[in-house]
Amino acid sequence: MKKDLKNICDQSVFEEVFHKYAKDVKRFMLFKSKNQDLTEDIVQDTFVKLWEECKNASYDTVKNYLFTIANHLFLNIIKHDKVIDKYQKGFTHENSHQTPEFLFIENELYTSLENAIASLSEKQREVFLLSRVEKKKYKEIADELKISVKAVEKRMHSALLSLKEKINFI
Amino acid sequence: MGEKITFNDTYLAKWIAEEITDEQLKEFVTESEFHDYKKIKEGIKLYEYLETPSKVTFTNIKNKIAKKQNIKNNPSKVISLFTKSMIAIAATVALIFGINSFLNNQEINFESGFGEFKTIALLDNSEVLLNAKSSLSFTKKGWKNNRNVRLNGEAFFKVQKGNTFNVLTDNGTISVLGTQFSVHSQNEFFEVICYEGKVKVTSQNNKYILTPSKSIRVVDGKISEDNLILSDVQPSWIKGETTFKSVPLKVVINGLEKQFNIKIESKSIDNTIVFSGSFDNKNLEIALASVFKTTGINYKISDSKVILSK
Repeated sequence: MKKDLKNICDQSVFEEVFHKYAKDVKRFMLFKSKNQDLTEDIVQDTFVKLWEECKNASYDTVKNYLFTIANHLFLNIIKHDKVIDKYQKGFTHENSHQTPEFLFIENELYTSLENAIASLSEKQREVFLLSRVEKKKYKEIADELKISVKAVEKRMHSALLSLKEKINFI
Repeated sequence: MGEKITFNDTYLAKWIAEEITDEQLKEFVTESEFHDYKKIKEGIKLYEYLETPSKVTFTNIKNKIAKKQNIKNNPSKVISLFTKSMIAIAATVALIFGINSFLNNQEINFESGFGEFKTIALLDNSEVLLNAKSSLSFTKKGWKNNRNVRLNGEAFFKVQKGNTFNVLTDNGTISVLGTQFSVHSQNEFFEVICYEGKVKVTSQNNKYILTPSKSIRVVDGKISEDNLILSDVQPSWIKGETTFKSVPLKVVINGLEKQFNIKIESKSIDNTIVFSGSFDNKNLEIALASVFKTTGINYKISDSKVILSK
């Protein structure tokens, strides 16, 4: 009975599932909803729901289960919004779940960007990740890598040039 | 020109870090390149979000689970009933609100009945908690530049930051930018208490600036400023109690009438004596006792009337 070893109602297993799949659920929801705040809410609620339903979930199929829950939560919100929109036309535009700036990033384009980032040179990728993911300032990166700020900026610049070259713009 | 030369091999780095603007970037690249870089920048934002460790997300999930379990373990009837009725009121208000909003220019009006207590969400997400037998109105037109509401009665405001927010009453005008305060304006009684931020009050051509825990009061034309010791961040009536600090008894009697939908006969007593204290909003007997026993006034309940005597 291998399954019993990985019981989702067990806190450490639950945490493991979270770290394994949170990113996938986030990504799935981000391109579905095209809104980061909404995605964050749904991802949180999805895992809360998984915890509540942990007895009915099996470790082997939990990824699909998470996607199903997330999808349900999303559809419920959309349904609710449609009802509200009907009555509140005119001032709900601020609450609308589509942030215009994300609208034109499609899944294909994003995948292409991911691949392009993966194929950056070691030096470019290092600066890119420190700056964009770890949100460090160029000055901090320069201190860390013991190079000049100008050199950091040059690497970032060439990284972006390289991304533009490699990405397929549809 | 000199700037351009020094930026030649770093302008994208400067742009992505928002050290130079879109307009400045356009000096270096063509329109179509600019468009591509914009997409890359947005894509990178998503990448940032997806690649950043989900520590915060997991903490929030744990908190949400803990909260739900707490509710399950301590099912408090009072709380659940309260939230239920609040949701019901909020839903009703949202519906009325929604229907009204079709008619842009029309005045939107909220009224609370006897003993009723309403939560209203305004167009900018500011909140108003309306105490019993009070009314609030505003028009949707020009709301963006002109956040004006009319109040008669008592209300607590949580105003979102933005343009000046004005509360117009018969006794004066209250102007704020974003803060929390309560207003009680009824006939000849006018009181404003500031809970957070700064509040400007204009009454009888006089101007007052209130800072937290400061209050201003006008009773029968007499103005007094006061420094309160606020035990809480919200007025007590929100929690089901009505509190007064040195007000004429007639204001308290008026409050009782509004809260319990009763008539109080006060001809035979001196209703100008000063009262400090609070009364319960749920139980009439307890409320009457806490007001009149402490002031040495006899009272008798008959039908829906309360008769006071010395």
